[in-house]
Amino acid sequence: MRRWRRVQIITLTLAMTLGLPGCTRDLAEVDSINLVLAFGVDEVANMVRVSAEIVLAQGAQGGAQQATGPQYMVADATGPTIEQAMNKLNTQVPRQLFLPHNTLVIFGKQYAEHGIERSFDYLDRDRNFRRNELILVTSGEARDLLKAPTTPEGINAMGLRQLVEQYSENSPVAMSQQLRVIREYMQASNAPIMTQLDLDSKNSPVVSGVGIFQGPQLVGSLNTEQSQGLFWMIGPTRDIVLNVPCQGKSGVDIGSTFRVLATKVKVSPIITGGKANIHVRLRGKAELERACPDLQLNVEAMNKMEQALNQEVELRMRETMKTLQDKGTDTAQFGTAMFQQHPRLWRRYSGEWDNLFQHATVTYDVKIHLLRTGLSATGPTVDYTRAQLPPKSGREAKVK
Amino acid sequence: MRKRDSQKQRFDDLMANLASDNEVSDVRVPIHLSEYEPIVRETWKNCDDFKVAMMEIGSTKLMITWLRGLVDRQAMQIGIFEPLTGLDGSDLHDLGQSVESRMAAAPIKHCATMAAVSKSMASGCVVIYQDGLDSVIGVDMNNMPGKAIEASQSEPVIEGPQEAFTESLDINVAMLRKRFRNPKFKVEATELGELTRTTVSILYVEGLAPADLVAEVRQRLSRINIDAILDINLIREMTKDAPWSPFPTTESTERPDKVIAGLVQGRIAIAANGATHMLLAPTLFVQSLMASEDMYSNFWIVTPIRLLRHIMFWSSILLPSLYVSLLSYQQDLIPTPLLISLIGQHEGIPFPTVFEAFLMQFFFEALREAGQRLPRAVGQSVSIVGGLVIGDAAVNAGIVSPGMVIVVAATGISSFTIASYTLVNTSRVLQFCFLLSSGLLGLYGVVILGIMLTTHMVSIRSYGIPYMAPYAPMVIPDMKDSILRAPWWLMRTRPQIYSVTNEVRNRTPQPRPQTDQ
Repeated sequence: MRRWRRVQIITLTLAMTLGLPGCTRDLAEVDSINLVLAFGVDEVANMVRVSAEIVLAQGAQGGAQQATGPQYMVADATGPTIEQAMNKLNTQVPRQLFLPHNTLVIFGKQYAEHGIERSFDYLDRDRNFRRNELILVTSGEARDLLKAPTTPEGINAMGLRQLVEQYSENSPVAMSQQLRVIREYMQASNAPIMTQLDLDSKNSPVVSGVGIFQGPQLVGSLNTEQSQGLFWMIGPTRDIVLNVPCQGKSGVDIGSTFRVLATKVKVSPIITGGKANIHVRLRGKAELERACPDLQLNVEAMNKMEQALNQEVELRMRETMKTLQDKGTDTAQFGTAMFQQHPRLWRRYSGEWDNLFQHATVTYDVKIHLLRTGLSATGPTVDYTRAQLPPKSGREAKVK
Repeated sequence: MRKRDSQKQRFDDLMANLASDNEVSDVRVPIHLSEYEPIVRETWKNCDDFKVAMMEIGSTKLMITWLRGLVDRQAMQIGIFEPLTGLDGSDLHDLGQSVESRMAAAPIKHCATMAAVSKSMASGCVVIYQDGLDSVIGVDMNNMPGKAIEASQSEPVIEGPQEAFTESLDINVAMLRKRFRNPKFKVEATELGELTRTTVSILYVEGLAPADLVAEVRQRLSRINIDAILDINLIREMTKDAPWSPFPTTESTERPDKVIAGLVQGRIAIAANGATHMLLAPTLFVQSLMASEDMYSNFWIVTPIRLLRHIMFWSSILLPSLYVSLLSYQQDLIPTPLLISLIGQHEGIPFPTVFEAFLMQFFFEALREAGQRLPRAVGQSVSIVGGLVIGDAAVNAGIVSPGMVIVVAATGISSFTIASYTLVNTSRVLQFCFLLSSGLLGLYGVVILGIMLTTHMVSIRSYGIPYMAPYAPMVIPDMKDSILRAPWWLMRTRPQIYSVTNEVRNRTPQPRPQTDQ
């Protein structure tokens, strides 16, 4: 009797689990969902236009049928808010939108200029979004970027993400993930950085630098060269290739090229006498990729090259800083450094920081050590003589 | 007339006793042949293999009965008929009126009751009744038919002993005794099965197996009250600690070396006549995933292989259900490129994933069953047809997706790696339960059922020993032979979990080259 009761209780418990708010409602077969890999947000005539990139998975059955035609489509809908536009998409495209695999959110210029913080709450709150999705900005319309082909990558969103990932090998800052961007937005500097993608003249997407923000508003952008200056000032960088012109020689494909292997930076801001002084100390390692023609490499020449490299890096940072100070956006995150090092001082001056930053004196201390000369100490053609003399190093005393 | 009536009466009583199944044990063997003969003939009526020979030596009448096919005819000729025909009445008189001493055949037993007579005849004795004596002699001429000793089919090894048990308990015990030449190896026999009277033996090593364990086994066997014992699995099911559990809490093996290995660990074996397998008890979960080869090959390879088997066991249970829950509920957990290709594969498939999984699993099980039931020669063509139909045609026809075929195939392969056939069947059952719950509730259902399964596994016992030892409870010294397999020279003690009487089993020092003095 007791046993029977036990069986009853167990059966009842099991039956009750079926009624629990489990996943039954979420049952969705893979062929009944629209996999959204990216969506763009544009502001058009006081409305928000959402363009969702939906993967058109090609059937693998039959074996012989090869994938033909586009592998994705872009559907757009306009609404007063992103969510409403999204919901509208569900009424326009068959199959349910499936957002958890979304990897990119691209903001069009107009929306970004009016402030991206409007979308933060939705992106952060909705359970479908992952915080590692990239937030990008474009100087045109996001929809155009999503429609552009990214050969050889068949799916545009994957290709765009790949581009950003390759770009971010130079500096992690370029990987503008949602979590990081929102965090940067809330930091003292209040100037998030987002990688900017644009269409080139052949209508294919390229990384065109970073978009700079004054608070939530896009105020301009840095091209890829200026972005390098920014990356050095913000944090560690890797593998930035830098070309320095040769003295007295010019022409196409001439110059010394350095691969700046790694750099570390320390920013020390201080406010004295109502003026901000910021000291940027950059240390790094580099190797030689190409030397100027006919250059004999010795200690002196190496030192000179190191100097030239340091000057070039400093120059780049100065140029970037000038742009930033002109725009008045603390994209180099000096304010954050200030808050981290001198929180009390920061609280006192935070209200007038924009002004302080614009007129701050920035000093640089750049030391990048040239580690090695690559695989050859001299250039391969240095020892060539028409007379076919043995290399200089071997003939100095004997053959003239 | 009265005498015949009384005889008739006694006979009727006897038959009534027989019919009422109240055994004829209380009926003693009658002194006169005239009484004995009808009883025997009535008992064995309608038995074509029942043979009778009547002899007369002098004035003494002999009635010789046997069952054709069970006795060795040549031995019967030399051992019984030749000595008897050489006798005359006077010889018999000199011999104290018994033919017993003239028998050239060896084991002779006396049967005082009619039940004993029937029993000894059924076990292959030639029964000789001598008129005027109140006991019957049975001469063991047993030549039971049976197959020869063959190599193990269900537990093959590449390196190591090949022999497997036969259906004859005597031969099986002999095979063990051959390997265990020590009187401490005990074989306790009892008879189970009211009709079949199958000999069931408890095998253990005295001084190793805990006495209370032996007593427990005896007690569990004594509770069995069934008409027929046909295989050891009947005993397994009727002595189980957790009768409803899908897990085998006793290990069955057809390898004598495995039984010996179990016995020297302090475990107990149960053997039944007619069964090709013996039971080893108590049994732990990890032991079901061990192969005898593990002990005969290099220890470096055994641990990873055992780990593989454990992973495979769980994959064979979980793979289809995980696939279904990922595809139907938790698509966000699949890497994007994989999801894209899965969506592509599933495009145009008319069934929901869970139904597809059930369909494929169903056909796979049907194929497996077909291969098992058919003769070996036909079995191959089943696998070819099955492979073509399920693997290729179904995918080409767009009925199932290639991903599902891969998952089902992987599940099948996983289950083939499990050493214990009983455990394979467990995983086959559980796999469907998991599939159902994943189809209803997704990963949530898999987790719920997983928790229930784990709870069940840690709570069942095998003859009082926790099934999941040495992991739950944790018995660190016993880890040396669990998933891990230590080299032989490190296995110094017997498993502690069995609480054996004598712990040390191995005093070999670590081998090292002899240093020159």
